[in-house]
Amino acid sequence: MGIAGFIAALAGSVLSLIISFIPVQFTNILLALFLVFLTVMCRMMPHRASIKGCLIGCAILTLVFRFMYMTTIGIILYGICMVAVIAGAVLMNNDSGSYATVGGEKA
Amino acid sequence: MAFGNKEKLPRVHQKINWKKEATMLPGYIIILVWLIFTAAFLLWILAASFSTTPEIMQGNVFKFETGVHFENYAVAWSQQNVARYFGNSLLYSIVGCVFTILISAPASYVLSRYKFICNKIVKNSLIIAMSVPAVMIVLPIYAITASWRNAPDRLIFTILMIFFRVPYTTVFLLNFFQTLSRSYEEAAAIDGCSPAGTFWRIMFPLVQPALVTVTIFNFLGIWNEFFMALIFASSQEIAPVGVGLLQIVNSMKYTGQYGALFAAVIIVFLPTFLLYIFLSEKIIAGVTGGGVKG
Amino acid sequence: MIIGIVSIVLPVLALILQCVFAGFSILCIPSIVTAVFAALAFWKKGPVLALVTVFMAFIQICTLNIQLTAILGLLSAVASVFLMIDCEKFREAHPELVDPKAATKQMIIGFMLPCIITLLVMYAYPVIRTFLMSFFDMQNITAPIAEWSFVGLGKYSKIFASQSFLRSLRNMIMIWVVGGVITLALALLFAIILTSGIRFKKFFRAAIYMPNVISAVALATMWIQYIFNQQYGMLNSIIAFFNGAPINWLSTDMKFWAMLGSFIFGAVGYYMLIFISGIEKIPADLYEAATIDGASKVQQAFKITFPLLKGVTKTNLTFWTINTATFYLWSKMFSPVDTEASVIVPVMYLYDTAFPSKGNIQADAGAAAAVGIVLAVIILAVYLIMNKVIKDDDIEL
Repeated sequence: MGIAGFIAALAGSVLSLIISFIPVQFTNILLALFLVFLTVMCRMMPHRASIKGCLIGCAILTLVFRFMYMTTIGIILYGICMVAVIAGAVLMNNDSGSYATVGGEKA
Repeated sequence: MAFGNKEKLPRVHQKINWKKEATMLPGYIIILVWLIFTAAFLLWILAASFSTTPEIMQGNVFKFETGVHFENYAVAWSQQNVARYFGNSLLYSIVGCVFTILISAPASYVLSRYKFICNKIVKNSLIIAMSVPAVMIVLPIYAITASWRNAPDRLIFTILMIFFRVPYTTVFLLNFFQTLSRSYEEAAAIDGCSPAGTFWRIMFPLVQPALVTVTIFNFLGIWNEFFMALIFASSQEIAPVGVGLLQIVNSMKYTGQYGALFAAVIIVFLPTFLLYIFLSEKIIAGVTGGGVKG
Repeated sequence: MIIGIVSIVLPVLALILQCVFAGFSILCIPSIVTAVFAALAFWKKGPVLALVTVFMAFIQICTLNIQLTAILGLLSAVASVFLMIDCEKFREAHPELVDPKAATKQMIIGFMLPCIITLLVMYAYPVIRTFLMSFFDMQNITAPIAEWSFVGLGKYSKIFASQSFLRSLRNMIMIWVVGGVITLALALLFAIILTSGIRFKKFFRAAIYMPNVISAVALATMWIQYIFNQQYGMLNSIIAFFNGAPINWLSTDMKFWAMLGSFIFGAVGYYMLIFISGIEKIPADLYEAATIDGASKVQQAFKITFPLLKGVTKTNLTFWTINTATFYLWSKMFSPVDTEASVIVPVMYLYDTAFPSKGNIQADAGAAAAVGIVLAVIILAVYLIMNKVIKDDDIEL
């Protein structure tokens, strides 16, 4: 499940990065870059639930902010991307749950 | 088991006690007149939304002589901007509901569980804030937000809606947190869970039914918000359905598309109506149980 | 160590550059908050504080509107992620630092803060400012306090000298009295019928409450465009069926009553629910005893139900008062473009005073605030009188 989550989250964040280039929207590129960064961090440190928290929170914030500004098809595309990111992060979290019981979970 | 069934069976197949029902006849008549009136005009509006303007003007909407006109909905949805109003309202309602819960639930939990200095004061101010009429606060808030013209208007209105629902939500949840047993926290503390972690992992999921109820009320409240929307979100781009519908009605003098107007009315009416059909028991229990207006 | 300093310095740098190139504005606030939280997280080694820093840094990417500062914002967000990991590692290495009492205290503060900020920003400050505004004269609503000039009770005497305000007060009182009597009577009638053992009780109850959940704008549009329509409207069709002369329901004379009627239709359900919950609390054996003694349903209503519903009636009256004082939507729907005297209510007067739609009228925020204060005083007064007159002496049975 963990790898599926990673792929979903990575696909979502990379896709949102790609959409931000057509047309080029500088802020969107930066936001998407940060999401990609967080996704990779999640994969590298699966036992840190807090990074997943960051990823989910930032995906929600992206949704909120993009919805405030956009009015076109972009909303739908972003919506799908962010849902993929959130779902992916949650799936990865499930995976790390079993991991953490071995490594000793942090309260 | 069998015994229980025996006792229940006669009740199910009980014959209608006509004598008893007859004494209630006036009651039935009054209620039915009210309901028929409601149903009649709702059905008429529904039928009118599928008719052409001339048909509506002549008053024969139920005959569908020229067929069923679904295009009214298309006109309302795209030409008259209902799609945008609808999307705006959905955005305000969903974001508003989520953040209201995120602010209110923790506060409500702390207020109901822990004694601290201003506990009582905060509780009372929340109850007072709940009944402060919107007219008392809009002018200064307008003054504050007017200086934020750089910030997107949608964001301002969403934040206002969140803040506007917080007192009600917090007070509503107080009772539910009070009913939860303290043994959950004790058990969690022994397992080494931090207090905040205990809340998010154990207590928050436990009050889920109350969260659902209060979220329904918040959704309805934000979806139907009108006064604040007229002041803070009245421009075409960001208007929610209420204000949008008013604009459609006002422009009706020039467009004259009555079919599309009624289609717009139905579109605005439908989401909360459907919600109500599925959740009416929960909503009614929430109104009377909470004892406060939603 | 280094990562902490970096994550504090980056937002500060972004802030400075933003101020230099674009001037200080509301957009700078997320950067300030980011820097503050980064410093706190660094000082306290708190992972949660660092988590908040990450979110604030993320928001600051959106708000910083120069490319250079936005990139700095992104870098600071990355730095704060590492700061968060750093803090967590530190906590894991020093478990003895975890103090349950301190953790509880932090939780109380963290959980209460958003709520208290809401109360202060959304309620306390505006109410106080509205109160002050009503004693001052100002250019427009947004004028800073320094530019206000004190006029004492001048704004109050101004609004009470205004014909339209007096008219709006009269309309409000009409709604309160006439509408209140009809609404509460209907609600009580329905409540008694529904609790008398009628079939399909749940369905009827849900159907009567229904207008309360649907958008009132949609409901008002239905009434105006269909029921009160002169050509094809429901009421005129019924009149025509009985060979009566059609009535122009939306004429100046009838408009107020048309509005009140449609408003009552929507409002009854809510008060009915409150009455029902009150009636259901009355023990059933009282009625059984009365039935055995030969009391009819009507007698039972007068002898048992009404006297025991005092508390519920008080609740309903309070809600009705608040509802009437803040009555706006229906008036707006019945006079959508220009405010008409026949349906004007105080809130509408307030709106027109504060945000005049016509260019030649000067906005008067002070007078608008005075209207708000008058309404609040009315609600408070009714509430206090109600508490005095109707003692909450529901018999505990």
